[in-house]
Amino acid sequence: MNNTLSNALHTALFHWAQSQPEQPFLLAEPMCSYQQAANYVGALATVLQSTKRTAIWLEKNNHYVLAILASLTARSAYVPIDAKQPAARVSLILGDAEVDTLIVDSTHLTQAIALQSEYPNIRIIEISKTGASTPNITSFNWFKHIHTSYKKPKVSFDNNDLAAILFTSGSTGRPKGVKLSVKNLLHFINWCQQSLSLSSTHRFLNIASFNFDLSTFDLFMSLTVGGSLYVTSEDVVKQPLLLANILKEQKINVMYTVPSLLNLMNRIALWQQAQVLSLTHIIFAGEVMPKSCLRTLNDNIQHCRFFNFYGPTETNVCLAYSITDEDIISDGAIPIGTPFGDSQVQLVGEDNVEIPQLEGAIGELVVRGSCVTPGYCNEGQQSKNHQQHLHKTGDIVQFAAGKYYFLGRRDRMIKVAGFRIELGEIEARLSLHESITEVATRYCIESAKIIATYSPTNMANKPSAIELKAYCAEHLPVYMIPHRFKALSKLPKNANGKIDYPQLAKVECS
Amino acid sequence: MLNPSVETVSAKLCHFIATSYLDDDEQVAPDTPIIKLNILDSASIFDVVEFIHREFALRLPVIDIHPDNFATVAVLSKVVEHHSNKEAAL
Repeated sequence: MNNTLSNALHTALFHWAQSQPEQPFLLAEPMCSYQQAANYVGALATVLQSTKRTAIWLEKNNHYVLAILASLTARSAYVPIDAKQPAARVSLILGDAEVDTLIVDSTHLTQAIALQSEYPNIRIIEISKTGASTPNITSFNWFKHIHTSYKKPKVSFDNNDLAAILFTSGSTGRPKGVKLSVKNLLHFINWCQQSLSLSSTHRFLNIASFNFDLSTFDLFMSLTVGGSLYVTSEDVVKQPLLLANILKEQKINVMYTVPSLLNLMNRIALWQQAQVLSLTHIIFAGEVMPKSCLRTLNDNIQHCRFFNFYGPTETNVCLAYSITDEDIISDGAIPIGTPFGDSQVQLVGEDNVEIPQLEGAIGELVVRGSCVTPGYCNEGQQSKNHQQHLHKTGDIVQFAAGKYYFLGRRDRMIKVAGFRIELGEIEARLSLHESITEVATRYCIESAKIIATYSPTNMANKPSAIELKAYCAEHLPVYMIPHRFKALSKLPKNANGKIDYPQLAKVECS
Repeated sequence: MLNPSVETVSAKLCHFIATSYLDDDEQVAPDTPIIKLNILDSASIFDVVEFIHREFALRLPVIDIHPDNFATVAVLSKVVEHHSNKEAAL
């Protein structure tokens, strides 16, 4: 029997806490059953009553998941912040998302208190095992609550409720807060439930940051089917052996990640060591999957289905494709698939005129339907299209044999290890450096490096690359720090006086 | 084979990382935070592992390929020295 829930999203927790209270929900230590998770979430949701926007700044672990669920239970949108975000960027996020409550752990408490001088109306809640509340900080003793039977909170929600605000790179130098509604999440999760044959016996792995929309699958799909979820630490992508051990020891069945991590696992031949006999579903998204990587995966992992999901944060996932044996053998590119649910797509040319979807047609992909998110939280970044449930992706795709294939971008957004980066945001930050007159960044595909070329105020006394990297580290996530810096007395310009990026690309790539 | 001193390992690693991931006139110091500054990322950590294998005939155990061990060249040099000594003792 397919004993799963429809349209439940976070409220599925309370359903499973009644029907399978002892079933493990969160597998990482300290392990947490559905009953314990409901105890924790019910109690924290009570603390969050009347909250509208809850930022969560925790180390990546089980508490993060429980804080997200408590926030949603209180009908507050969650605003996830990665543990290692620089405080300056956190400050921008708190302001733009109009956060009223900030949940932190002891690691981030000092920084949160410092931010309170800028945002005196933000309430701080510290997740702690022992702590006591002070006038400025509410302490939530999770250890007490996890063992105390919960009083089932009144859980209701409206499909138009705001569920989350996920911050991604913004081309003007300011991070962009993408709003996700309950409806957007349900559109995706309901389709997954109908299409992926998953159940409460499945064990899911969460690798993605909670600020990355891949995490919505891990969290809400495991919850919908009443399965179990292993939440990894933020550093696991740099610790492949640890990842291999988790796959093996936790008998993980479902893994959703970016191709670059799978490629890294291939490179150091960790699949055999991991004895990944339990993996039944590997889903990838966020980057183009190289065919060689897919073949190596297929050679090493038996009886596993592979899926390619597609969708910018603004549409969550809107196209999907189940990889066939033919795809593995053939030399052709891997499709991003076809739209699902009520999603519809069309192709438009540079003039915004629709291109008929004939065999081989190429154009920018425009997505329409319930998957399209309500827009951005900053007024200046709003798009009228989103109010009409329409999103222009900026991705150039080709239509062939009934499926869509990703060809490239029409703007300066890039993906590095799945992270979406607007080169303009890096430029905007670097241009504020006192020793830089002008800067242009570009991405070298061959070397997979971000290169910043700048003209210094004084060539004889230009800053070192280390100095510029340290400056970036104060303001940008680590994956946005340029790999290389090149100083030129003048940046190349085109006839309109704008930076000549093709000319810049002629600078040595490696 | 004589075990390389920790200073030699450090100097070679600094040179390799600077020439591979920075421009020619840039230098990496033993205490430069190479992970935090995105000089090394997930993939380039494994380039360094391969360099250590080529240069010092040492295969770092996968368990030690951990970002904390690559935080700086100083930390990494101690890891290399530790394993070189262990191999020499066998």
